[in-house]
Amino acid sequence: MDTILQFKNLNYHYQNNNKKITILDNVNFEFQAGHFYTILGPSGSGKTTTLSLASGLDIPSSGNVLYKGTDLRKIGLVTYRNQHVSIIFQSYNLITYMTALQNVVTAMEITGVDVKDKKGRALELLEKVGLTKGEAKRKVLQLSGGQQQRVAIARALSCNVDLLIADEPTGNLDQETSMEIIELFKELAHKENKCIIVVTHSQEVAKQSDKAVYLEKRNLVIKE
Amino acid sequence: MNFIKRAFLSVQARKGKSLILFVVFLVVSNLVLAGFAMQNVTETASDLARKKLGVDVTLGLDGEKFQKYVQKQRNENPNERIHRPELSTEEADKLAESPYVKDFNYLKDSQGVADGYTPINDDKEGDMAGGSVGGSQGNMKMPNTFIHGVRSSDLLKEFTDETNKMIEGRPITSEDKDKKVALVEKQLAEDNNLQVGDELKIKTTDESSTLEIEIIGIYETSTMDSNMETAPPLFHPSNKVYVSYGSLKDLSENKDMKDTSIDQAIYYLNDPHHIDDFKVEGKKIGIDFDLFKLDAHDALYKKMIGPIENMALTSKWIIYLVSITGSIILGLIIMLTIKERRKELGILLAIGEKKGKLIGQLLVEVLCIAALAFSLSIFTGGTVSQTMGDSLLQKEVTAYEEQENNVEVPTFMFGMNGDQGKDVDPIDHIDVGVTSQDVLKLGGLGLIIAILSTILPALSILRLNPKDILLKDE
Repeated sequence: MDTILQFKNLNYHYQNNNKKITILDNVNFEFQAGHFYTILGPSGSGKTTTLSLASGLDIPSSGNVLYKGTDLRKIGLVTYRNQHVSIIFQSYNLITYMTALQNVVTAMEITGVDVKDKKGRALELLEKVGLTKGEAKRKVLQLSGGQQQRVAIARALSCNVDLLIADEPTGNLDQETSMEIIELFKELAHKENKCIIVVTHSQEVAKQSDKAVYLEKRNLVIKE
Repeated sequence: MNFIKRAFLSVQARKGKSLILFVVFLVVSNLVLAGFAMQNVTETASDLARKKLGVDVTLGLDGEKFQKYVQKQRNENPNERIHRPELSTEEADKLAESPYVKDFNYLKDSQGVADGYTPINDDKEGDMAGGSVGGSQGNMKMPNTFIHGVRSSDLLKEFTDETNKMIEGRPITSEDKDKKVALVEKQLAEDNNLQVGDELKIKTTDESSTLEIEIIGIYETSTMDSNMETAPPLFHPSNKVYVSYGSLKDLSENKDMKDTSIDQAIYYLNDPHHIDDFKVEGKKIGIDFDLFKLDAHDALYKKMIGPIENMALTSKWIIYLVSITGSIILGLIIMLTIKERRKELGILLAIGEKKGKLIGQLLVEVLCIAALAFSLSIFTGGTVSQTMGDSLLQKEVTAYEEQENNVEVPTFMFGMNGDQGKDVDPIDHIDVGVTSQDVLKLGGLGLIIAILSTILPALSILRLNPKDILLKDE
């Protein structure tokens, strides 16, 4: 199996009032392609830090985050975010003055995806996540929470990356929409061989994942 | 280049913010354009003033300096007669050789007593006619003839503006320098049956010498009015006799000097733009500039152009002030915009957009709005400039006139009126037109303002961290 992302001897700590606070302590973990992971843990356990490190928004205090065997620092965080990973946020984080379609096309333009008909591809992806053409051409604030999250997923998919990291993607959604989103993630992992990592509080979502990873004692532990 | 597309989308979507920026840019560009246009006017007005005043520069006594000189002489030698300093033609000729000089004239004024003919109004003077001056000595005759020595009568203002017209004979020219020739007025000639070719005699007031001159021309003056009927003969225009300046040497106190002395030399230049260069050249010649001055109607020029120069100075300050405050206001608006759009910037950074392109996006947005405002100001700038120009100029003219009214009128002295009786009003109306050069200047300055007011606040983008924006804010 292909290892997409690897945490190697990973440590993360910060100073608070001259006191060293350790969040992650010597973490060694591998995320494989074609799997849907969930990362669970109580508040303050380091879920957001793990997500930041995996998505190239932060760097570890020591140790390495390796993408397909290469340290992120060597790839460069901006290049890594631009070319290899897509992030889906709990609050969607779409550009509000754009339509759903423009949000997806903008991401494709920034990442330089090699697609001639970017608009056509974006419409295709939006349709895939369940948006109609009419909805695709609406300003994102005119869409429901579930539709906005679908746009965020379509945006993440449009960048044509192997690794999708989501932070509480169903946190603001109703049960039915949440399940639809989770089904979409499973499909992406199993049919398109993508590695999906979802940070969540929800045991329901964890049950749907291939591997539920728990943050315990500042380390990542798999509970099958 | 997708950041340019994003910039256009953003400008369209944020109509309110874009409108505020547009209004600020429009105000700044209109005021700056008006400032540039008003500065240009100074140059045009200067040319206009020079054209109106002529291209003549007068070398003559400096009234103020001469008064101080007289005062000083009186204090030092109270009993001695003060001699009026005179220019020698040798000094004046040197200046006439300047390449800037197209033509020149020499003037020397004197007074005398008619001998063998009767000046106009001389018989109406009663007791004064043929009277004497000089206190108890009583050996000085009352002058009744104003003698105007010239090098060329045609160059005199009264002949160029046709107040005086030659009706017979010929004018006095430079060829007549050493000849004893004269022009007399028609009325004087008729009353005394004088004709071209006749001899005219004028005595000095002390009757020590007599000027015998040949009449070569008769002129007619149009300066007559009803007051002239009672005017003393000396001041009656018909009694004015024009002679070659060389003729007056016989009446001079310094008749033994090699050169002829004159009161003024007037130089007519090729081009009004050469006036300052000519003055610089004049200073190098050995003329006593402690008493004399080269005057290009400087007082009149200042009177005409003064308010406009003040207006130009004000407009210069307007440009500085508007540019600086405009940049600060725009900078603050953009700073607030960046703060407001922090999340959008964080999202784009999380997708992997470069910070440089984010700054580029903001710059394109601002430049796009600025370009629209600048374009509109090309049409509105003319009206704004004219309104501002009229208002500022009116204030300056009023201030100038008040200042003028408070200044004491200097005492008139013979031979010291460098303006040859000219007077002008200050320029109180100007056409403030916006030129393509003004628009180009505005474009340059506007670009600098737009770039500075965007780049400086946008530098804060370099410190943005998408993790802090997107994860901690949630």
